[in-house]
Amino acid sequence: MEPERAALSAEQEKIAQLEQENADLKTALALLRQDQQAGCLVQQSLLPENPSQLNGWHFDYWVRPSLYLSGDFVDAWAPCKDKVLFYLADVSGHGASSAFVTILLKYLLVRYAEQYGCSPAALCRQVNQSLLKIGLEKHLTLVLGCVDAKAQTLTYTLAAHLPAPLVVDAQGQVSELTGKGMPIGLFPDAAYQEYTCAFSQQARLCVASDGVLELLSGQGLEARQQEWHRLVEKTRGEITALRSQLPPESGRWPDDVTLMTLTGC
Amino acid sequence: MQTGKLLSAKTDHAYLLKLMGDVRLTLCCTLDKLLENIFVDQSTTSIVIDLSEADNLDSTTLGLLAKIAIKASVMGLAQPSIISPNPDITLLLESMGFRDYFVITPQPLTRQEELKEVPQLAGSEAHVRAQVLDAHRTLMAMNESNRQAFKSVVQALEDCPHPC
Repeated sequence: MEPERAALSAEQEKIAQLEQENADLKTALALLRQDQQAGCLVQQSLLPENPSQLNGWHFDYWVRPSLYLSGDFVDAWAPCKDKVLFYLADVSGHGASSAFVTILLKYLLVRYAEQYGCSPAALCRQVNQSLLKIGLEKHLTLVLGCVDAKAQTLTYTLAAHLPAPLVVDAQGQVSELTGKGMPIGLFPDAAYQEYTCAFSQQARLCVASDGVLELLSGQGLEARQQEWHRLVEKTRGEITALRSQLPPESGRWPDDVTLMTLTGC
Repeated sequence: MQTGKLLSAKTDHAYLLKLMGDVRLTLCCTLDKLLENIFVDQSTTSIVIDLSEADNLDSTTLGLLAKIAIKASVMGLAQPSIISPNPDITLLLESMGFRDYFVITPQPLTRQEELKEVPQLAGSEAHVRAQVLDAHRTLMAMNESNRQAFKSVVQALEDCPHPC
């Protein structure tokens, strides 16, 4: 009888110990979650008003982090009377470390735009140098543009961004913004080119982060980009309609997903 | 999709890095170690990155590849080669501007024209081919799974006609 009782008591002790460990883990997890949620609130408060009206332009976006904090980021602001600067950035990786870089990027871009003006290519060069100098071991892809309501133009720089930004014209025709460029924060000698195209206030610019491609059907990058093109055509690039075409939001998505549109008011 | 794997091998002068499956390096602590390994040996003169069995590369992995190219250039080595037969992966590499920093080929270098197009590449075609072949053979000799993994590459290299 004695050895059996001893075995039983040892078993009970083990169970109690496991229960305690389980409770400790739950507490630690809750703490971490709260920490992430607090970070998420700060990051959200750094995003622009959604939607925003800026100098006659309507800026609309949707950011969906894969966990709590996002390595994707968007911003738009009016540095002077006729112009609106905007960008969509996708920092390598996701989660907290990438989110820190989005905050730094926002700070750098706003500061450099004040200092050096609205040239997207010049801004890309500056940010590239700064990120390399800091040595964060993080890089990013970027669509950085400047719309001019008076001149009816869009000037932009593409820094290794996928999928290519799309423009839906007043007739609903969809075309890609052409051009290419290096990612930011990787190559010290990276050159950035600036492109300008006509952009009327009836047109809508539609930009997404590459996380969206992972949600679409189709085998391979090329096929998924075509699917994205088709979706934008079908929805005329309207964010709510686009979102309704994506898989349900329940469950974890593999990457952060961001959509952004810009059109005349 | 196969979980990502990173394999490496070194012969006399060539360093071979083979990425397989869905490569997602969410934690980068091992990357610096890897970079160190590649460049610690002064005798390394060429670097070959084999993506023939990679399904996908995440952004951190792309960052690692870029660092290899930059380090190689700083050390005065030839541009690293990337073997990428998968058009999707090649598209991804091109979107990142990697054409300026790597010799990207759909298969191991076998054609004379490719070498003409890329004057930065040190060594003759036969030399590069021999290096790639050597590195792959070394990998194969390491263990049975490597032997299986690299069989097709080595076969292709051995089958390709020797340059005149």
